[in-house]
Amino acid sequence: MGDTFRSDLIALLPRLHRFALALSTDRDRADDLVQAACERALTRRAQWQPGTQLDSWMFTILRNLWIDQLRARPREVVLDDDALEALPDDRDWNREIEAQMSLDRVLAVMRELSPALRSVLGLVCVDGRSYKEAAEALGVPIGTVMSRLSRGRMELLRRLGTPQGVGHDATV
Amino acid sequence: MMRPSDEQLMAYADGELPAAEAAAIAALAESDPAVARRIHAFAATRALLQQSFAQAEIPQRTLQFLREGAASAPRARRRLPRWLPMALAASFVAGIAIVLLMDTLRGGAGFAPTAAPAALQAALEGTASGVPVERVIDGRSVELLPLATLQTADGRYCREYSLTPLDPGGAAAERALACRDAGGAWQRQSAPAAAHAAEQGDTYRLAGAEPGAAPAGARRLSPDQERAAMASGWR
Repeated sequence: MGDTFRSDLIALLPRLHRFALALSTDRDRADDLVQAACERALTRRAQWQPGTQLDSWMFTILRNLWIDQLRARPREVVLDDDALEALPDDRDWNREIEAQMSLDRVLAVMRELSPALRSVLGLVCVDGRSYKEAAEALGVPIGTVMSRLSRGRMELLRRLGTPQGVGHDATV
Repeated sequence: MMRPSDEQLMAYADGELPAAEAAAIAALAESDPAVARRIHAFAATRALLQQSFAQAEIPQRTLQFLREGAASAPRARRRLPRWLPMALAASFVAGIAIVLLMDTLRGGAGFAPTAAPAALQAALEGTASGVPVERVIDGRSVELLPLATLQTADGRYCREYSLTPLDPGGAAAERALACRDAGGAWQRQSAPAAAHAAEQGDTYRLAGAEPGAAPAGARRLSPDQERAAMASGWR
């Protein structure tokens, strides 16, 4: 039984790790978050009810650990969500993100987004959850997920499209 | 159809719209390049995130952690604070209560050394202070952390160490002392009742010792001295 639990966790590792990266935007911190989440899962294994979604449970554990870290480092919160407003809609987005972009480049841009935007981007765009699943995971209405998701993606594009953004990275 | 909102265009790009609504937006995108570009922007951001995050490699540390120890699930593994070896290297940190164990060195009442098991023997013989190792000792999986090396006035070497059980629900960390006898075996010293001691330079003197009585002095070795003692087989 214990073996199954551990191998289930191993199977979840790639998804957990990508989500941790989306939240923390830092490779070292992401590694630490994943490790801490797995340790916590093993010590609280009794609280998990077989038959329920292990992935949701693990994502919640990981996200709670990340929130604890944010509280411990309040300076990290950079942007107010409401500060992100209307963006130009007639740009040639094609040109700007056609090329494959390095993960580090994307993480650097995501780092400038607020934690709330990173959460929805991580759940929907990175992990592939539906809006409804993301809303349940975050405990917010679907409309909130959609507005954050839309702003997060446009903000991502806008920042990738700035001269400091695109021209800078030789791999772009 | 009115100009759709960003949320609607995004939901279309994500395949989250009901069929009828999706058809209306598809038709609009045919005739309105700005709408088409907007839809593309949402599709592109999703693809960008998926592709870039797919480059990430899973943390090997956690993979190993989950693979090993299927028999005894280790509880949250303490990570050795980075400052600890530095602290040990300093002349002495008052917080490290080595001195609490020193009265066992006097060979007084209740002094009952017992031979340490082989795994502990080997670890004490060859592991530098500040370096944690995992061992099975007395049937328990533990993290053994040598804390310091001491030398008694009569030349014997002793090592203070902590043992932290790794099995779930295990007891708290214990601090213990073992001294190397003339035959080269590390003898575990029975833990004394807490005794207060005062530090005097590199020598520890038991506060409880009567004035005038021969103090049970023991010198704490520096990391270099410890290395040298270890290299020469503790002779």
